[in-house]
Amino acid sequence: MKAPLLEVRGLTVSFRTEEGEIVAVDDLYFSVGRGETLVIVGESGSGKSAASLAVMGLIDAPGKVRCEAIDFSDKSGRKRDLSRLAEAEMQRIRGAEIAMIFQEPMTSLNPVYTIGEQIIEAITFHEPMSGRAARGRAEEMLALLGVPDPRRRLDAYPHQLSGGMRQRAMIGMALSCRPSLLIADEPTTALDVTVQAQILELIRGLQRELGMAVIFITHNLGVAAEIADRIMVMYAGQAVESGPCRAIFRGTHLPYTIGLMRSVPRLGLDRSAAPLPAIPGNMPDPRRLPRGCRFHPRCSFAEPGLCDLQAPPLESCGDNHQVRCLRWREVRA
Amino acid sequence: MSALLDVTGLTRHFTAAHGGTVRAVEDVSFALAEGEVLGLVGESGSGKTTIGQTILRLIDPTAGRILFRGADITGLPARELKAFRREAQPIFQDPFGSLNPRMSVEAIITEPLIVHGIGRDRAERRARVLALLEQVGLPRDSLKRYPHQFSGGQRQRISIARALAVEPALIVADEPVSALDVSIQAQIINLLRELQQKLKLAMLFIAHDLAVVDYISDRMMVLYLGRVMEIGPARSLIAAPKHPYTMALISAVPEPDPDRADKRIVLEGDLPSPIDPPSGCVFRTRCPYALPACAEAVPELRQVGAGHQAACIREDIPTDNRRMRHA
Repeated sequence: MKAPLLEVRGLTVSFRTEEGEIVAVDDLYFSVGRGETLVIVGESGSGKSAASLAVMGLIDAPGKVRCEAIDFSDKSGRKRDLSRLAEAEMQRIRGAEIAMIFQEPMTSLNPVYTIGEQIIEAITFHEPMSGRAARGRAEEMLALLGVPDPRRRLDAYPHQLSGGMRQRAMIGMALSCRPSLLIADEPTTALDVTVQAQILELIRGLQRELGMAVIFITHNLGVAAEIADRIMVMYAGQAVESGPCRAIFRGTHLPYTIGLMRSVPRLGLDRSAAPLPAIPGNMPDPRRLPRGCRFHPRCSFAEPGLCDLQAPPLESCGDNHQVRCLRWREVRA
Repeated sequence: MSALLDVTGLTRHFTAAHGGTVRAVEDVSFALAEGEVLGLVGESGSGKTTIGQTILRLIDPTAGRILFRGADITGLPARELKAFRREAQPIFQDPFGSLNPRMSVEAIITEPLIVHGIGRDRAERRARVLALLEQVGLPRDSLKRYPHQFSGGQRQRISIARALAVEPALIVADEPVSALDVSIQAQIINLLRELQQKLKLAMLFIAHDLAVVDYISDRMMVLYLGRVMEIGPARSLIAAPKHPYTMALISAVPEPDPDRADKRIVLEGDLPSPIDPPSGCVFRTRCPYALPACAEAVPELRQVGAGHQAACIREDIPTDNRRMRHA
């Protein structure tokens, strides 16, 4: 097997609070191959955003990151452990080799600079290039993103653009140095569905064109089904399922994933039948995680004396498919 | 049956910061029967929130008539508005922003009882608050707790209890589940539907999530740039949409199915400015079926099925909705 582009081993992210330490990400392992799309699915408090920020080296004190390694093959083919890099070196990777986009473009775009100035800054920070050449590259990038009249849009300020256009500008900035990995944290959540469809189409197209790998973070299973090669489901700081997209949608053995899939209303659902099969209860308090399996208080498959006592390991349940459930052999969707 | 709510020609304009008029809602008409759920769908800028706020008289319409139980509420003075407010209650998206963080749950739910003079004394009001808590699935010990001590889903339960405290006939729910986690959304949707059925509530359910609106609504109204594109029974509107915008909206919903085969209609371009909307049909600049005639006149809503109307002059658009496996 080819070495993955990114391999994260034993990542733990914790935050110290007045009420004790909160472990946001607990001993996480995952990898992403070149050109592959890994979708991380999780609800609030699952640790999905903290994990991606840790990869980018963006967890600041009082947050604490521990790990065996975050191995990344850079453009020259050298393997670098991102968790051991000095900040100056990390800055050279960030943007140029790994880029990140967020849910709300207004928090990533500076309101007092034009779109063009911001994209050009990103380019010239990483690549020795004249302002004119960088402007040409920025214009090219916006055109690739389907921004109409890109030359004129370079001179626009963020507030002068629509939500979809802003999201494109942010993607343009992120991709301007042709990174080999894009981390996208809920990039379409704040957008309308028709705009979301445009942006998903765009990310897929760019990925084909640039051969870029993507880590896509979302809570939306529909979005995951559309773009994922592989999926990792997180719950309360842990990876609870990981596998190929189709294997998960067609044959998951995890009660939490089954619960998520069933509880989402789908178009044309017959509602004369029973109510929506909701998952009962709430996300656990990270300061008082349940003993045993963290999902057991909400799980209809939970077995007293087993699931409330014993913490389940990630076990293989199929080709490249793992679940964290002691009873996975008996669990069917 | 006479309608609980009868809205005719509802229009709301705002003055834009740099001059010009934002046409947020333009000539919207619909009726809502007692105990009926009408879902309002549309993307940002479609006017769905403004319609909800005008109906609650949180903002005044620029033109149009809103009849509630046959009486026009658009010109009601504040004193008479109070009686209407006892009948029409809102539920908002953000249960954190809409609950006073300094008030206990008991104070939050008791306030509307006091305002409307419900309950003879404290004991009676407390009994009523406890009954409401039970109805929305919150434990009795929630009484003395404060909003920050609850999760998002529980806070939305508190908002629902507050809205129901005055026994309204109409609920305007604006994105009541969109801020909640996926696993919690279904709980709140089930609760809203159960209460709506049990209490025979009429409801305007406003949301951008088509599947959620479809699930909870009897009828649906699709809005674009402040105008009604299509209105009709939810089942037939989703199974056989007649307006190209409705078709595009349905096709854009991502489905949790990796083998989904149908071809997606991806709309070109951006929403036009509501300050300077396109002439004729407002959707024509992004419509794959637009004809030159679409620019000439605003299309009338025409009958396309039982209780089903669409504002499109073309009658030859194929309804090919392969996504409806269940319908």
